[in-house]
Amino acid sequence: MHKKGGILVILALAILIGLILSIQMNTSDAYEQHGGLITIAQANDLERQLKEVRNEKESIMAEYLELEQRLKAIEEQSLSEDALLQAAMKDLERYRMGSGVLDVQGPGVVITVDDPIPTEENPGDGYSTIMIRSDLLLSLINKLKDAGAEAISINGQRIIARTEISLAGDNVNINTVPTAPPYTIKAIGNSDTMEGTLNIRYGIVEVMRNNYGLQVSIAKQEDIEIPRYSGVLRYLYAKPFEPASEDSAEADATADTQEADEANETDQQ
Amino acid sequence: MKRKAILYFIICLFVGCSIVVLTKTVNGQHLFVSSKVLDDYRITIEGERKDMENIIKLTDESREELETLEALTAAHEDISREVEAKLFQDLHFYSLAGGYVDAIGPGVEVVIDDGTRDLEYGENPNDILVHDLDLLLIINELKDAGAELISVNGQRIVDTSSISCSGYTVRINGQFYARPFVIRAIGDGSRMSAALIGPGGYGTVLKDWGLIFRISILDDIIIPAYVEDRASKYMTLSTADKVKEGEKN
Repeated sequence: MHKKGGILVILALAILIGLILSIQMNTSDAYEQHGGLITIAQANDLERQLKEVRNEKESIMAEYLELEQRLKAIEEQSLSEDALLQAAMKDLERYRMGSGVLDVQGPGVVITVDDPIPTEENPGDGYSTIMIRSDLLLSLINKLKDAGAEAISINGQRIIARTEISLAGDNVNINTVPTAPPYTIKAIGNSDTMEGTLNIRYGIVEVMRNNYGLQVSIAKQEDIEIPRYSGVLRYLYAKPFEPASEDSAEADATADTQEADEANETDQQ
Repeated sequence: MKRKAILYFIICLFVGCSIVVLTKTVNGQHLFVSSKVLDDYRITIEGERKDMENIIKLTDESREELETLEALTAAHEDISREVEAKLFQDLHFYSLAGGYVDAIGPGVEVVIDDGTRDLEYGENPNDILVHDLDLLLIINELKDAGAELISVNGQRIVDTSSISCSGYTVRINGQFYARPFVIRAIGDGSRMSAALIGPGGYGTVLKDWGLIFRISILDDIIIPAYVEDRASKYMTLSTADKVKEGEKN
């Protein structure tokens, strides 16, 4: 009886020790989360979430493209013969291309920018270098435009006339959409000129590599696809100012009369 | 003696079991990544969500339009007038968005000029000169504060506009300009000026360096159309039915 009691006590002790050990390890794991280390499983989980969101986005985009095609088909059906309307349709495509609301493709360069790899001597402070120095991205894009880039995107965000790159809190917003490194910049244009401009000695890429330790790579590609601006464009303050410029005068004149007609109609109502 | 051996065996078994259980519950892989990777993932997911919301808005707009047209067709009405009206409305809108027409609206006018103060002993003259990055950052802050249209010294800023220092002059849209620089922006004037002259605003930064920076809120700002050649040599409309959305990060 006495011996059996001893075994029970030891059994209870062993369970207790086991529990204490596991609690200890769990709490130290939680501590490590704040300290900067996370198990790879959590990262995998986030990666899976990202994939899901991207798939969802792609299916919505497909739906949008389908709707757009149906709209276009109806448009083409109902306006066919008139030369003026045909000219207007052509102008519209040109304007939409200039506004960055169409998907485009062509030869160019793909640039990737990523934060420095943390080393033992330089472990980093937990902040992203490229996000804090987002003016480097601004400068890089300016250089690309200077080298004749016709269309540019960063991480899927098309650069249009209104695109901002702003550090807001902990993330960099481009077209008001939060983005994070690594940054993939695609540019359509003369790839030799663009690559040469960026790679010039003491140029932007060398500064990014040597002064900030960033990982930058540039690759020329034959066929790059750049997505459209996916935001909703609104102009609340700006209005077209007459007289319109020469080449679109005709189309705009008709547009004006059209508008005037509509205004009359609403007046009558 | 035998009892004791069994006892030790049981204790060892328990300790062993508890270690196994514990490693299982903390996701036993002892491979770690930095928290930055996790943050980057979170931000990217947030970004993709936001992008998706934008596309949903666009989709809703298109669907509404399509439904109106289809309803009219079903009622055997002539829709050519509606379609025509929409075409010219779009033409009007995208000529404004793409910078093909002059525009007017309320906004701000920013004047930046080289500083007039004396240099301190050994100071670099560049400290009080206006550079391309100064202009880029001002324009970027204006856009961030909701500027709809921007011009610099009369050059409309469009999607391909570059600003670069080349010696004594600054090249904007391929044309050469010198100081002073006048930036006009149409949008919410008080918001834009607050962004530039507020604490940490880039206008304040320039003033602190000794440069000249003036901003005024105006009612009628006229921004000219983009007049340079913008025929595209390399870019064509995407022929693929579906462009792959989202970059591979």
